Amino acid sequence: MLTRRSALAAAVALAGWPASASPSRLVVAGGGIAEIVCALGLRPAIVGVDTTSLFPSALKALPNVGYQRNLNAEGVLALRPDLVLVSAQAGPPEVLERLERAGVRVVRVAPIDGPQALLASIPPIGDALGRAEQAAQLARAIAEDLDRLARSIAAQPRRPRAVFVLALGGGAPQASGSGTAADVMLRLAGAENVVGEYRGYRPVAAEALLAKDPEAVVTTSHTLDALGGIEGLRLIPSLAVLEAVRRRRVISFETLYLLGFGPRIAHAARDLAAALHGEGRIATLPHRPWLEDVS
Amino acid sequence: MSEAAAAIRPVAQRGLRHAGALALLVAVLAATLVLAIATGPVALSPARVLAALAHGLGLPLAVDARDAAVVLVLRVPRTLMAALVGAVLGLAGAVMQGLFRNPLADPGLLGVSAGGATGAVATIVLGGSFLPRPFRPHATTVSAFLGALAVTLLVQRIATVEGRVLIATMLLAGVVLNALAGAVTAAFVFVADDLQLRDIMFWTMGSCAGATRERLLLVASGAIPLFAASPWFARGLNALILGEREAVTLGIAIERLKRFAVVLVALAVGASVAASGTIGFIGIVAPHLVRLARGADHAWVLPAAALAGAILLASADAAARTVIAPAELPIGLLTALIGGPFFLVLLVRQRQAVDYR
Repeated sequence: MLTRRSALAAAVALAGWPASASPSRLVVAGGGIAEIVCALGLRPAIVGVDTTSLFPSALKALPNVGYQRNLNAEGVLALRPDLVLVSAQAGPPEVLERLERAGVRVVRVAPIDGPQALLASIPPIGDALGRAEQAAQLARAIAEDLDRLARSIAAQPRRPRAVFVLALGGGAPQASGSGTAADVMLRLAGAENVVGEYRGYRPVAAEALLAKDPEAVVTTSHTLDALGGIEGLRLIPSLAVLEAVRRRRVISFETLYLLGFGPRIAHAARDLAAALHGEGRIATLPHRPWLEDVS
Repeated sequence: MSEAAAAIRPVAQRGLRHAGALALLVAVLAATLVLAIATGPVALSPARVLAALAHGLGLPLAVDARDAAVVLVLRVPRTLMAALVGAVLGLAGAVMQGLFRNPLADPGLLGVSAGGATGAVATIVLGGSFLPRPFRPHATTVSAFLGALAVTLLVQRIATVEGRVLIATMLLAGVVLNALAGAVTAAFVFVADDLQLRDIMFWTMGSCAGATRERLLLVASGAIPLFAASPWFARGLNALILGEREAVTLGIAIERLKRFAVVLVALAVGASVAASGTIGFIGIVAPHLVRLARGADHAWVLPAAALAGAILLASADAAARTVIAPAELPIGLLTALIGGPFFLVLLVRQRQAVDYR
């Protein structure tokens, strides 16, 4: 049902724009969407990105239009784009309207809140970029990888209990409840989110987390790196008392890779699953060109 | 003159008048600590809590490992830290209000919180990866402490002319440096990603959940000089009520008082902010409550504000980690939510009493 609704939303978002030739000057806002554009072979056409577009690394060298929720119409216009492709979070809406009034074609991608929405978003993006054929192939490949992962997950005897945390504030670590990207990834990886009973990112009560006794703690590599590794996590009381942390069952990934909902989603979920269930237990996925970093 | 002379009589002598009331506050604080340590999302009977505590004190008692972890690693350190931070904020607030002779003054005026926030946010965003690994876990705390101290000492420096601290200039310098520190923080916020923004947001709402032995030690070493100097401050601040010139004629070394007060407040609050983030309202509510209860004699206000702050923050912390478990409320949200309306009611009821001059 999610699929159909998202596909519909994507179609509505794009209605009125005829499928056209490839744009030659493209501004992209949204890390996952920028990855899709690059996977469709249009990286050379990108002339500007937002602060969330960090992969492939080559994007970081491009002019930056700022944070996607806080775009600046003139800054975008100065890059003379013929297409501005933005995520559902991008805004403010008035700025996007102003860009349109200035004659720039703006394509808003429907919200991508999980793998189905991601797959549904790719064909419309392909249409907007004049790469319908490649987009269909990309979506098919990702769907195949997701299917392969799902079959492997289905064969697992149990669902490990895990929690995704952010812990740089020095206070109570925040754990991701339901409705978060981390929750989606934990489920894709065949894990049970121990704080799935609340929604969103919340500081988690240490004793409650201890009582739930997660088998593994998942976090971003930025967090782990900033804390100086697992030893750093062990200095945070709420985490230090967990059996998972004591036994060094801590898993970390690059934020955009794990939570970006871009074309690498299946591989990210697979890597997470392998870390949670055991490397040998989860089928490997074929190597895909969009996993390659280009700097 | 007799009234003025009475105001600066040695504090020890005057303190006796308040001994009963202070003893009562100490008793309430002790009860609060006991209740806070007995409360939490994991239901533990008083007997099990006591057994874990005894175990922690080295008594040879067989205790469940989880009970010991809950009581000794999670509850005791953070309850102690909440009490200590609360005491610092209450006392620092009272000292600042006396120093500025303004009932709304708080250490934030000196840029302590803003400087601390700049330090913490910089580390959250930059990640501290330029530091050697063993230092990184403490990077947020240390940089918040240094940020708080740097901004406050700069404010003090700007306001000091030929050895005299000009209070009005200090206020203005504080406003400017608060804005500057805020701008630097905003620059880091601008380049932060969504997940870092969450860490930043919750840092600014404060939490005692990160209480470790190291942080307790940091807060305590910041707090002790301020606590130790407070009897001397009480005498000076009482004289200052009459005005700076009058205080000098009463034999108070007013410039030394101002210098020391600012530095010791900065040290103590800087350490608190570094360990627990910014926690609002205690520095305003605690001194006012005790002033409303027994008047503005600093021999009463300073120790009582410290005790009241400790009681308020220790109870707020117990509530923060319990009421919405498995999630936890930011403690700053609680102190504002409960402290605000409570304070407002008192204010409206006793409008005259609040203006303590």
